[in-house]
Amino acid sequence: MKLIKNGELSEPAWIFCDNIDHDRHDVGQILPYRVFLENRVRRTNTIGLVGIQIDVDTELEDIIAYFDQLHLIVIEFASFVDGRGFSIAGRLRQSLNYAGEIWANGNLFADQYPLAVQCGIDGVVVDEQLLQRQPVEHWRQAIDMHPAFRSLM
Amino acid sequence: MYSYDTFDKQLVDNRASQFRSQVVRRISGALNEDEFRPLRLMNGLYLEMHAYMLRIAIPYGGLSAPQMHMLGDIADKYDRGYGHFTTRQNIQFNWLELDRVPELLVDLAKVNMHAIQSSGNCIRNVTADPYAGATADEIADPRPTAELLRQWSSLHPEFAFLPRKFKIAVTGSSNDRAAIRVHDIGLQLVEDEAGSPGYKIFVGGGLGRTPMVGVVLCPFLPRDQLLAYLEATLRVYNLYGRRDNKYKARIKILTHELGIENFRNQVEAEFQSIKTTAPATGPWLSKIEDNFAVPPFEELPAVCKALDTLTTSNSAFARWVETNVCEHKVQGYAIANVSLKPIGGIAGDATSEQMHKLAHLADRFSLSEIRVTKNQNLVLPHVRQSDLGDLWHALQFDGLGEANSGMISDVVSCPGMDYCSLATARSIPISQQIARRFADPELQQKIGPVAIKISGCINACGHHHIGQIGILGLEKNGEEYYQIVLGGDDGEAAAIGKVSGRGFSKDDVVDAVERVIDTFLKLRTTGELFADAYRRFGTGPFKEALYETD
Repeated sequence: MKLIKNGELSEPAWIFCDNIDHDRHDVGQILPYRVFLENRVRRTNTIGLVGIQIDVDTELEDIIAYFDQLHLIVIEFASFVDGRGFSIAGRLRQSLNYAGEIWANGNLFADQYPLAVQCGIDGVVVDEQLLQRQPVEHWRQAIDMHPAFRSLM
Repeated sequence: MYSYDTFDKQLVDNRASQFRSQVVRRISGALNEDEFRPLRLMNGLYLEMHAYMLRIAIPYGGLSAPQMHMLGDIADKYDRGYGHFTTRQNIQFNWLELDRVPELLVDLAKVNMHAIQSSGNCIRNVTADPYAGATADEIADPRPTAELLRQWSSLHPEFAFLPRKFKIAVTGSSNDRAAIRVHDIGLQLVEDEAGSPGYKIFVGGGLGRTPMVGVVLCPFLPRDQLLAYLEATLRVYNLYGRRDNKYKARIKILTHELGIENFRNQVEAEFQSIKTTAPATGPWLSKIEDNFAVPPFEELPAVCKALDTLTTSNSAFARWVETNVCEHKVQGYAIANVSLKPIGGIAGDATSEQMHKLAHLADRFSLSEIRVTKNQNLVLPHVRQSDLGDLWHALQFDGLGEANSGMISDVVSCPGMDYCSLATARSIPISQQIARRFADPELQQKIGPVAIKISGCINACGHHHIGQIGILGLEKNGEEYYQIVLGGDDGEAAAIGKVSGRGFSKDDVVDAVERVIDTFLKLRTTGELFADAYRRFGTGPFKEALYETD
């Protein structure tokens, strides 16, 4: 997995899992929220770092109870023109006071990176194909060139 | 007018550089067309029928004389010597080359202007009453609120990829000249019983394929809570507005499908959770108010003898004063409407020479201020009554002195199939023919105010739904035809017009409009307005006249 965070490209020690992999302790596991819910009684945190994948249908208020177990929330963007993920991040940060890590996964491109960061998203998961067209320098440049948003000043 | 601070200045400069970089990356292939499209739209750039079109924002319709000069320069430097003022207080240039647009944006930034969010699925240019700060009938000037919303919404990271475009209008008067009830959000400045300032908020108005009049979302919101409440409203819309069908993606569909009570409850819940963390309205608005300089009005006598004398001796001037001049809140001043509807001209178009001339006239007669109206006209908001004669003479000379503000020849028209790639029929020739048919000033005087609005397709950019006589251009089997819609209203009694029946060919539609007017003239009581007569009689007699030969 490739991640752009703080303007740097990295390969974080996390994997997307459809189900809990009890044999993997070396990496964090990002589980579908449904899987996380089904397994929470089995103390998923014993497998190491745990993150969840959420989408627009996830009832965010229900997650509050698990904030202290979660090291990461990954918001799925269905497409780059679907801006719901920005409001999900806004709601997590502003309404629900979630202070952990948030990543975006899906199809965001470089010029949306500043918007994501301003909404409280820490990192964007990117694929190789996109990186070929838009290397990490473009993502850094997008942050540098994006005019400031007055409300944040 | 509002003076840009260093933050504003830097923002428009940076935005121009940013767009230059995006164009370069589009040309290199780093950005593909799908990715570039929302970026260019959020900079007001469309690919139209013949060329690129740039829509430049004129926030709440306010222009200074230097800004108008710059628009004139842009018309010559980048376009074909003219521009088109629109129904949402923007200006469009229709003949641009993509690679020169970044340079154009740099020129705009020199006079504190931009094209940010004049298109795209984001919060668009905020519009307001063109008489703001000049009219006696407002409880407060709506422009500081409109400017607050411009600043708050510009590059708002959460609301750049909404389900669909989002339009906000503001008025400080109960006489609604900003059409707030047909906007996604309409704000009316009001006071509560104790005299504290706040807003009455309308939601879910809009035109297009599914026209709706907005409903009250909040009857009174204290002034200091505005941004938190709007953030909550936009967040609910962004999360739950439909994305499966672009024609059902506006907030009006969401409020309609959820029901206003349910929608209001969701907004209220979100509002409660963010009201302490959302940007604070009060200090921000106060800072903006400090940057709105009060115009240097002079103390003038209550009665202007020069005006009285000229009005008595010159009937053409008297007619212009009657139709185009309105009362000002400051003694001795007047609000002068400048028509961009010369008989047979193109609604809203102005040449570069006219733009420069208007800038000079604003300097000379209107404390350097100009406003753009939703009816595609201009306003000189602060004219000494004693200067009205000289102003009128100067306007006559430049084809800007038509005495038809609000009259039947003051037709609102979208660009239609002459420019727009979405249009299904031409609008401009029909509006020209109507203006010619009713050109006689005495006939116009006799008919009185009538709002005719023409759209060249169902997207309704010409606002036909809210014309007292609306005309919708459509296409069938390769032929243009025109539906007539009656009884629309964009003011405080907002209403969506009713389709009268089958459409008319392009050769017959002007005759049909004339039959409606003839019927009105026969039915009216002395001095009765078209809108009042329509309310009294309904569509019946007009429909009968329209289809009398059937």
